[in-house]
Amino acid sequence: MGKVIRVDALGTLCPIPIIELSKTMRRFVDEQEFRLESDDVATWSDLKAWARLTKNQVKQIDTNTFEITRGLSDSEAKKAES
Amino acid sequence: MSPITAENSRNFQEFAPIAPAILENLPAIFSSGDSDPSAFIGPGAEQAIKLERGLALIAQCLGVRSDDLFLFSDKYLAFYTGLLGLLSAGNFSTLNYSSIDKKDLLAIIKGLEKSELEKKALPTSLSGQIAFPDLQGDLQTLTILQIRNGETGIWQSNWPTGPLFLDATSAPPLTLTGAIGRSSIPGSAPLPAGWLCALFDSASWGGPRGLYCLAINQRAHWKNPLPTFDPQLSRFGANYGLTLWAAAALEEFKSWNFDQINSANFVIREIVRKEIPEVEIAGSETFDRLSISFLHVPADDLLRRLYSDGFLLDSGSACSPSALEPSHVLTAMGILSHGNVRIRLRPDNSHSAQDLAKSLVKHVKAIREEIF
Repeated sequence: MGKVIRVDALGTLCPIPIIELSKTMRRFVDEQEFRLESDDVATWSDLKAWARLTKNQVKQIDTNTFEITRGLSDSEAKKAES
Repeated sequence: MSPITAENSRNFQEFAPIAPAILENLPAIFSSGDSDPSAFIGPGAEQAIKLERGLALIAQCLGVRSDDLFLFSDKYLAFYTGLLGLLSAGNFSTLNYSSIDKKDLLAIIKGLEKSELEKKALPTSLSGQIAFPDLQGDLQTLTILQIRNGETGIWQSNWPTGPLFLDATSAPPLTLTGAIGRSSIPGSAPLPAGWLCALFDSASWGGPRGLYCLAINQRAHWKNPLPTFDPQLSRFGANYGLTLWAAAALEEFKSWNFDQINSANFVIREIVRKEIPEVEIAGSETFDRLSISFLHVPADDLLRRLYSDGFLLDSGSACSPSALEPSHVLTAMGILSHGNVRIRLRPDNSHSAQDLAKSLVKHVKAIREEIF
């Protein structure tokens, strides 16, 4: 299992956390797992929309911590194709 | 370059300057002052006759009886009076509502926490459709039906059965427009069969802000929930000038070219979808309203750049100057809430829909290039 890249966006407001996450994912193209830390109220709802638009996976760990996996799972990919 | 003003801007905001045809009528309406319409003689009595005529026209266009109609200057109070009047007189055990309902309604429902009424929040799909359960024959459940969402312009395509509280504050009169989202064919549509109370907002047809029309169906069990000596609502609570203004605006609204507005909506959708990746446009047939969210774009920056091109727009994003929290409607639907712009189309701005779309494309691309 590869390393988890941490994105610290605490204290920043929408849409900076999502932008910082996207920038980091573009920088670390070979990494699969990311962890976003953000205390902006819009983050979780926007992160779900972001995942749908960019075809990635997201999970909320706690109020301010979110786990991101690059790409879709096999079942999600099949669903997206159909 | 001349400065951008309310007159020369291409205003796609929720509220625009009064249409010239309506403006022409206003001096005559307001020049007679504001007398007491309950007076037997004098200017008040004359105004009462004009007020009744105005109310009759409004009622006819809204598809309700004139004597079912009561006017309010405050939306929250109108919602409260209508909904609580039904709940306190009716025999309801359950209240169905949706998380995309107006904040005024959500606040009123939250205030019912201590009552024994069961409150059910119905889920909303990504397309903005509320999942109404089949309530055939259930007279114990009152359902709030938002005919159309004000932010996104999405119409509910399936109207539930059973007793209804109708939020029509963002829907232009159905007798004039038809239920556009249900049929795609503008025409005339009656209110849903089960309606008991319905609230309309004159701003939805270009009338004044601050005039809300509450219709209480004759067959509804409704009781005035406000502390009062008179259990009946007053027919003369209406502001004379605003009521006639609203009636004049209805006459003007009848002349709108709906095809032109639908076409402007389509043009913006097509250009934006074709030219910009990672974008979400709420709903499909949204008539005079559009809500578009651009990924990775700060809404305040986009609004400022559009303004520099002469376009005035609103936003539902938390990063817009007027809001610290994202739109509860976009959040409930699951649509991206940042980088959001709201567009309101009218006959006097639709000619520049292509220009607006091109300006959106230019600035969204520029912002993204600067960020990445």
